[in-house]
Amino acid sequence: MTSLWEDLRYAARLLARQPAFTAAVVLLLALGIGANAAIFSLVDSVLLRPLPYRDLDRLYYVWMRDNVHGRPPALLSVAELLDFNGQVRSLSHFAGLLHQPVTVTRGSEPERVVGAFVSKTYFDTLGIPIHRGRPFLPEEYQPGRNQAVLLTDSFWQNQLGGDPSVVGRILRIDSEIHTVVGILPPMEAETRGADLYLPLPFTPELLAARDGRVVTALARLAPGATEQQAAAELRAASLRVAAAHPASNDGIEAVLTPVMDDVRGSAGQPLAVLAAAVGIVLLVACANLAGLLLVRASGRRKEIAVRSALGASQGRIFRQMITESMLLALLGGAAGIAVAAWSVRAIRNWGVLALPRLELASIGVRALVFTALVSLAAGVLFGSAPALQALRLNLASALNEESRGSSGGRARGLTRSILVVAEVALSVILLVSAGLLLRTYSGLTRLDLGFDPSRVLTMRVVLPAALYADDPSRALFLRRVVSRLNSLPGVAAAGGAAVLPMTSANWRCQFAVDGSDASSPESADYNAVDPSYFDSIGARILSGRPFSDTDTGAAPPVVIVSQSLANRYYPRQDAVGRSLTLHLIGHSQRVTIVGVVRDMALKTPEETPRPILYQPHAQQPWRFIHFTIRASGADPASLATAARRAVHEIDSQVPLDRVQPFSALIGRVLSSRQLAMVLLIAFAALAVLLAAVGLYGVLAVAVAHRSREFGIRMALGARPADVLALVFKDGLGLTAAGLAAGFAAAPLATYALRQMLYGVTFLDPLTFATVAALILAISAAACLLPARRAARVDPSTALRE
Amino acid sequence: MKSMISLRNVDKYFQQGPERFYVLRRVTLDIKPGEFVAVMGPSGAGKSTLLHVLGMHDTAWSGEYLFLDQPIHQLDRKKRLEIYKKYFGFVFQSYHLLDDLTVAENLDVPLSYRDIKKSERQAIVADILDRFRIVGKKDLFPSQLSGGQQQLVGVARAIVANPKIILADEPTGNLHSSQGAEIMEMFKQLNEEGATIVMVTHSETNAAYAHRIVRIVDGWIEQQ
Repeated sequence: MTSLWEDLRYAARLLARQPAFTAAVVLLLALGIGANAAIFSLVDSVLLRPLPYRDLDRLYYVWMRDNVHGRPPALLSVAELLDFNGQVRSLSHFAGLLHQPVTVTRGSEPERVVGAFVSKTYFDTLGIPIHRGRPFLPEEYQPGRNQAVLLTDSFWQNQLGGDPSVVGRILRIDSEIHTVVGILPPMEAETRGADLYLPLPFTPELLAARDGRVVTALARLAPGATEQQAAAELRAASLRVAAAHPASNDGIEAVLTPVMDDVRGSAGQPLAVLAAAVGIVLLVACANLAGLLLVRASGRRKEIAVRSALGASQGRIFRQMITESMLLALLGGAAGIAVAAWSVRAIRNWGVLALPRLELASIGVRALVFTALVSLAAGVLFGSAPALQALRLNLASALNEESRGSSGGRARGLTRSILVVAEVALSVILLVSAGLLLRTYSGLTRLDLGFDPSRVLTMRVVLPAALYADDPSRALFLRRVVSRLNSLPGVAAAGGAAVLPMTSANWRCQFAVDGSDASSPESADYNAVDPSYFDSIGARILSGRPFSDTDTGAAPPVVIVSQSLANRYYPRQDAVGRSLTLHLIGHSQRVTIVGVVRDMALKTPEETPRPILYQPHAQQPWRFIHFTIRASGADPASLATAARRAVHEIDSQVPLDRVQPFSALIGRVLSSRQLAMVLLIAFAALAVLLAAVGLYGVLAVAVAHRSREFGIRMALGARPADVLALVFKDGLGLTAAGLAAGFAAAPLATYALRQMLYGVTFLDPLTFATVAALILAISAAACLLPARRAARVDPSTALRE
Repeated sequence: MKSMISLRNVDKYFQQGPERFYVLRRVTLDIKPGEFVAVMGPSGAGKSTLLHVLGMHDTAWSGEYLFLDQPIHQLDRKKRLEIYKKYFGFVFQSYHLLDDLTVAENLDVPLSYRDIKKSERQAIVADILDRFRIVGKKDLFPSQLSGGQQQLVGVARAIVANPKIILADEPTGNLHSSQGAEIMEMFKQLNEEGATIVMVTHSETNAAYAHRIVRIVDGWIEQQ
């Protein structure tokens, strides 16, 4: 132990005596290790950190899958929640949750918050205890007696200052009085993002709407039960439900998916790519450092020889060398923590990100332990080659060597060259991956969405149910606000819609075209829009007419359909003028198609066009309204203040939120790919820089070593350009070897990326060619300085040395 | 008296293409405990090579080497290191002090490789500093010492672990004559205290301190 301490002390002294070298190495390691620590903390918060639920691995979502039409799995209706509850013995708990924005009014300021309406067993299902107060009472789930609310810890802390006396007090929610009955415990990593929990009362209307599938269902496996058993029982129960309610449930089956799968979601692949990328960056950094330390170890041959001559065993020499590397690695790791903390903060603050639980990413104990382990592994990695080199020393010749700072022989030169080839190869892999993502992202941002989101400002209003209880009042509100917005200076067109493209909203309806089987309706995406909505977002009516102010609740029901719906159900015919039966929230009505609008991308820019059905808002006036305001100038954000004022001029009690340009919505959809792309580009740039420095180092040492040879060549008639060419040949030879190795390995990496690519193949020749050109250009730049130094060798001086 | 060191037909050569270039040729040599032997010869004769063979720094040779009856030529690296640590001290022509360590730390290095407790090591180093009258320089770094002082520290370092035999490779080669004489007096004293000394030197003056001179030419030992 004493000798270890002495090795450590000696290592510290050596490093302190070479502050520039130490600083350079620590900086290099800080970047490499810091990037790894930062990505680990993202992975940890997004993928690894468990949700605050009991026995998470036994918790499942339940979805309704339409086996007949092959539609995406849907939520459950309230009636289905009741149907399945208690029918499946392998599920000990079955609960539902319905997200709905609510307005909390404290003082005169209405505030929009996220409410979660939950069924009786919800908190038991998840295993969430009530922190203060009590859970909802059974009678509080009855319609009309449901004026109770449970607060989340974050709402209680942030909005009510953590005042414990709030339990039992009154809170005005959606203009109704509610009693705060309790407060939930702090739930870090909770995914629902709710501020308040309210009882979900089973009203006759909700129970009647069997196909109004709006409830997220959660179930817990019973002790000893397996997922397969539960799935089989659910299938059997689905058949019973379908037999009892063929109109709504024929061919529809309840299926399970683990909650954990949903938690990982789409973030898994980008994060896996980034984790691999930072691993590669660290490998490049280690290869670079190994090369640097090999040169340094060459300068210490005599010291090592003297120590051996004084009785040091090979083990002690190895330990001393590796101790120095470990100390460097730990210093690099410590600085890396600072780099990681800064990076995590920067990534977290990156406005357009949509990774779940990203806000929880921080450098905590787990990240610190990870950093320490990575640092030690890096120390072993870059320290081993120089340490082993020290053991292969010829003691007698090293002790007799008079020349100092010798760079070592051919073997060491070869090792350093191999390290540089590896660095170039690893950089090529990163560059090609980054290039493919860049091409994908660039392609996605240039895709035709079917509408023009530029210069459009969006904002959301959810009308309080108590104030806007009837359809005419909601329709009037929208009409008046749109009219007011259209009169604002700088506004080219303004409109309103129930949902916006590029949001996670998933509104569906069912319909039956004339002549089809009415008992098996088709489904489509759904929206309710005002007459100027299409105009405001630049969507084109292809045939027929847009909605007009005369399409009111009193007028005959009409719809506009998307181009793909028209093509699919009315092939080679004009859809305009045709009728269909629209099924929506338990009601059916005959509607006439008055127009066909161009297809629009709803969820992602690259999706295949979906059938969409649009209703006039005036004929189905939802409480959820998104306004779309196209600016005549370039900056839609400049309209925000005037637009807010315009809404509040109509009703000052209505809360407004999500005021943002349309481009921000698209940015959010692309954010995980953008994150992966930007970070991959940064990591690739770092790797290339390191490889260039490594190449420079190898050439600089080689030039110093060969100055006598260059002197002789020049004395024999070589021109400076000939010597220059010699060095370039060496440097570009190493680069070419690295390129070849990188191109051989890159397809393996890019093949793994292919799910994140769009519009470009994983073997895209343009990307590969560009990377080759870039690497060669950077390598040539790295060769330039040593080559010039070689060309300036003075033959008379070099030959005297 | 039995030999401490016994070399029999030791050959060392470098292969240069098809040719062998011999550095040591059929070297047979006996050194008794307590002897002070000077090895002399022209440059490139193989003096230093012989010293490194004796000091086990060089293991690529053939022949027999007995040290206190132990067959060095048959031992593995670990066993040779054990013997080296127990019996040998080495003084270099160019001192080879470790630049980043103070005088006291340089003296501590051989002890640190011999599993001696820290407190004991401190006592030994203090004793040696005192004995060599360099206490006042214990915290200085080699670059702050004169050549003579550095070699004094080199000799002190060679004997700090109480070796039975000291191998010295031209120990005064880089020193002024007065400094050289001081070092040679030190060797003489150490020899009188019982240490066996094998010293490579070009200097007849220094060789005069030895009991016996071994001359070596082109790798061959001349008849003594």
